[in-house]
Amino acid sequence: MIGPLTNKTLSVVTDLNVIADWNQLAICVMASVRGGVNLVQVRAKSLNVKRQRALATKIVELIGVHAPVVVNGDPEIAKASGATGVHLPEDGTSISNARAILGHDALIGKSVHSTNAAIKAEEDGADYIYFGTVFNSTSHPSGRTNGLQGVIQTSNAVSIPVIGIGGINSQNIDSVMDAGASGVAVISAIIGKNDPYRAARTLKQAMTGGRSTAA
Amino acid sequence: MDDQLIIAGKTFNSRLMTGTGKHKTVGDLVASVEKSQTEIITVAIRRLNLDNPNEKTILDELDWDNYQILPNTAGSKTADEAVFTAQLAREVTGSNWIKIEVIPDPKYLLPDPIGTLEAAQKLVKDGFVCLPYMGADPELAKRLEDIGCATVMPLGSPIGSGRGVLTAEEIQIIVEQSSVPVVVDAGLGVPSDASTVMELGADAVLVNTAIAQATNPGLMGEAFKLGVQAGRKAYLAGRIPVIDKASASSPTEDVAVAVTTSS
Repeated sequence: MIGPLTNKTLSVVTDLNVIADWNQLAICVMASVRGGVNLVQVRAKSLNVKRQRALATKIVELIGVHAPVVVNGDPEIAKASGATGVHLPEDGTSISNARAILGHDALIGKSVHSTNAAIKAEEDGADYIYFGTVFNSTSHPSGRTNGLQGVIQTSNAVSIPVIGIGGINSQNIDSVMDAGASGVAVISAIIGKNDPYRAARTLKQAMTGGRSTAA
Repeated sequence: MDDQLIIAGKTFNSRLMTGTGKHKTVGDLVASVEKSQTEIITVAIRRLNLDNPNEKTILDELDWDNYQILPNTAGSKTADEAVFTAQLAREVTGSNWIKIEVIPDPKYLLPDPIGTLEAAQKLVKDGFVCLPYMGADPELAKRLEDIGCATVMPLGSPIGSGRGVLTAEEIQIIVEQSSVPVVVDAGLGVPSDASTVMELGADAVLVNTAIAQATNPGLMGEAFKLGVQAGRKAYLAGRIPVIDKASASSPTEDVAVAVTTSS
């Protein structure tokens, strides 16, 4: 693995529902990177393949020199855009298929919602997982959550980085790290904030706990 | 004697701004920065080099606590592109200083006056400290100053051409009319070019290619430093007027006349 993930990964996931303008989105993401974000996920499921590729290429071109960028969903788009890797939804393309397309050095992550799925993702060769939903969030207001117990259980079950997602903010971020996560991913805690630099910096500074993982 | 350059309330001892492009090696860049004693360095917010994604950016090469970083909007062909690049650059660097470059023409790389003014208007409103690169047009300089630019940056000759100062008369008018610093940017080839514009009263110069592409960039950086200092001192000292006829250096009246005595 290429190894861009540190033991304090702060990941931002793009949301075109909040910022639809690509330039403004790039500026927001760049500000968050300066504030401490060190993994960018481009998610743009609402766009067609061509537009997804164009957006991913733009973000990689503008941000990729400053932070690793992974593209949600399609490994072919990740490859065409020059991204560091791909982030696979739980029901998406298999890790082995993504690996075949992107090669050994690509960063391949997967979203999981249970400890068993996390174990399976590690066995299949994922470099990291997003584990959720940790807390209820604006994007998942009333779904099933795994809570901190789920983070503890999953972090103990796998050795790849576990990145918590779902309802995480500067107040509860440290509890997720203390539960054994190697990082957290956020959407609304950064995207659409007036000052995404400060938002990211506040989150990063609050990440005091956490498990150390080999980079 | 205190003779400092002040831009947007910040004080600088050096009147030589440099650029980071076109250096052959990082060692050359660092040497030229050190030897030139520059304090303001312009950087293009480089996009990812897809051939070598792990390559360091210029931001990693210098200790920016010691320099005023001046991001530029190089690569922008329109005002909108320049505004976007500036906003992105502010997030990359954390600095609200921006050298505005709106250059649609790839052959002569001449700045678009209307696009430059438009970009400057938007960026000043957005809280940027704007240093616009521009043709040596005194009326445009006035307009850019009026809308709140921190400097004006008229060109000496086309970027990277080394043709020196082809715009001396216009620069002189701009100097006379401006109350913001006048920074002559582009085209300077040798330290005497820098000296020439400093003698005319320019407040500073920006030099990139002439230093970066010199056989010995460190030495050329030092030479430009001295050229700028010489020109500045000459300006402050007050030059003699230019006249048509000779004016003998040695006195011709009331001088002792040698008398030949015969014995």
